[in-house]
Amino acid sequence: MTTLAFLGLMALVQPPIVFWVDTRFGSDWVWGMPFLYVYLGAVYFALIGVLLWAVRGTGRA
Amino acid sequence: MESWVVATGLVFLYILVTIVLGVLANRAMSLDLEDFLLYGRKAGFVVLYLTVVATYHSAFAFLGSGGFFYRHGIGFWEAGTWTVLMGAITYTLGVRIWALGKRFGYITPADMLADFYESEAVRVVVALVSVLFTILYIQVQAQGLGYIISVASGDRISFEVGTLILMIVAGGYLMAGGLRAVYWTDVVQGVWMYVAVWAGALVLTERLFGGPLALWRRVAAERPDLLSLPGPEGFFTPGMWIGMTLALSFGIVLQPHIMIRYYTAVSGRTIKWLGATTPIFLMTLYIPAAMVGLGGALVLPDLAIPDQIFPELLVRYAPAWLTGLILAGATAAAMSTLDSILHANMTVLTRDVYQRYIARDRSPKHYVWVGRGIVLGLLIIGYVLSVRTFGFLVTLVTLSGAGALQLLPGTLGVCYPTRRPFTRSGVLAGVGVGLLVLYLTLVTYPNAMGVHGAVWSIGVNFAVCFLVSAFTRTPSQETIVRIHGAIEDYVYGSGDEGLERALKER
Repeated sequence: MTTLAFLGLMALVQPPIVFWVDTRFGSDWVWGMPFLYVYLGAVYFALIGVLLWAVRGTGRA
Repeated sequence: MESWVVATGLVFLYILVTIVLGVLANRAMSLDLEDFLLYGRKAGFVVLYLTVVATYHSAFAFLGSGGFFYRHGIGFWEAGTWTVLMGAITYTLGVRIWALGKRFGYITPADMLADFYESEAVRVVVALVSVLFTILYIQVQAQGLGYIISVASGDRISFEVGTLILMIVAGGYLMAGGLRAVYWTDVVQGVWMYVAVWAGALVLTERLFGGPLALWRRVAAERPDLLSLPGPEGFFTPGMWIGMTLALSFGIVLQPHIMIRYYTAVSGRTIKWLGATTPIFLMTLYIPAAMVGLGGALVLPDLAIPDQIFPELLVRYAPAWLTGLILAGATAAAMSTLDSILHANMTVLTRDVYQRYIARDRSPKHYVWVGRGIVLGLLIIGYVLSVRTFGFLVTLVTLSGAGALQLLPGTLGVCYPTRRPFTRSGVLAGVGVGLLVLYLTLVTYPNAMGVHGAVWSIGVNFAVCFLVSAFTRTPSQETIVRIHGAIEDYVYGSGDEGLERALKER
């Protein structure tokens, strides 16, 4: 489950999705910052959340 | 007092602190090879965390990232992908490397690959690739150190002299205290660099633009080309994005200065926590770097060397004492990586080449002294490269990662049991062809079809490795059972406790 979540989120910040996001929402702004900047940051934090979830949930590699 | 004196003086004060730590580490060190090279395999979470992040982030992150944002815009925020991926690789692959190192006493990456593939040729090739491509990394740090001192002193201390002084200091405390000195100084350097980047970026943004949100508005109004992909010069194409992600995650993990850190952990659990938490530090360091680079593009649009944007902004727009403290942080970023790479290359050359092929069965003291001589040699090579050739810091590091990336098929073959493992011929052929393709796609046809050479080379490497391995002799069944059995036992069986038990039984 954690592996799938990580790969799914990672796909969101890789081509072609990230380029589609930039084309579609590149001119939008969120909380006074460019959409792409906020979007990438949010996905990165979600990815870290998955890693923390994994390490807390299992004692094995 | 003139501002350049204050700024340069604080950088030198910081250098004094690192020298003191090196001397203290020397007093705590025994002349035991495992202690000198691997910190006695006793590194706990906090020390390992700070040394890994300080080593991973170098002049590349502190200076190079600002330069890349400055020139290529928001696309460099893709840096988050490789930092997060680095954590995941540590969590999955790193823990297996640690378990094998602990179980079979490996010290270098080549130890592990040569043992599994039963090949001295694999050992030599891995050692040479490791050293060759990390020399570029030495050049990056040396170049960064020279920029810092020359900008801080207003060119009163030249780039060449600044580089020389700081390289001597890093090499000196490494030679004195071994990996213990590197780890102790990395703890200070890791904290200092993080605070320094954030403090510098926030102060500059406030002074120049009235805050981060105002900065974003100004960039949108004056340089909107910096806020979209692929950037003003069309650099961040999909192929470059994927290539940099691969080269700067897998490629950096496979370099000896990171792999050796996995061996030094006190437990597998430590490695897993490391993997889950290091991206927090690594990724968030690029947030202020974006402010510096994008803000700098508005304020100083015609800078000849974009990598100097951060120190240039500080010197011009921040108080001297703050500039000194922050540039000391930049020095920390470069030195913490430089000392780690010097140490890793010293370990590889001492252990995989000198001890094995030139002088066997000498005393630990002898090898420690030979290691010190190797550090001196590497310092000279790094210095000459840094003063004779110049390149974008990010470009050099990506090239370095792309080279080390060629070790990926061989490493995966050791750490992930499969029905038919790779063979030594497959691994050697893959590395050879991969390096050739890397040369062709970086030098002859640079980034062909908009795809980074790292992608081309690792793709061909894997294909050749699979193909040749299908027709050549696999490692002996005994070795496969011994090493893959240890992995399966650790990962799917008894974990840390079982490994400890196996070590006691041995």
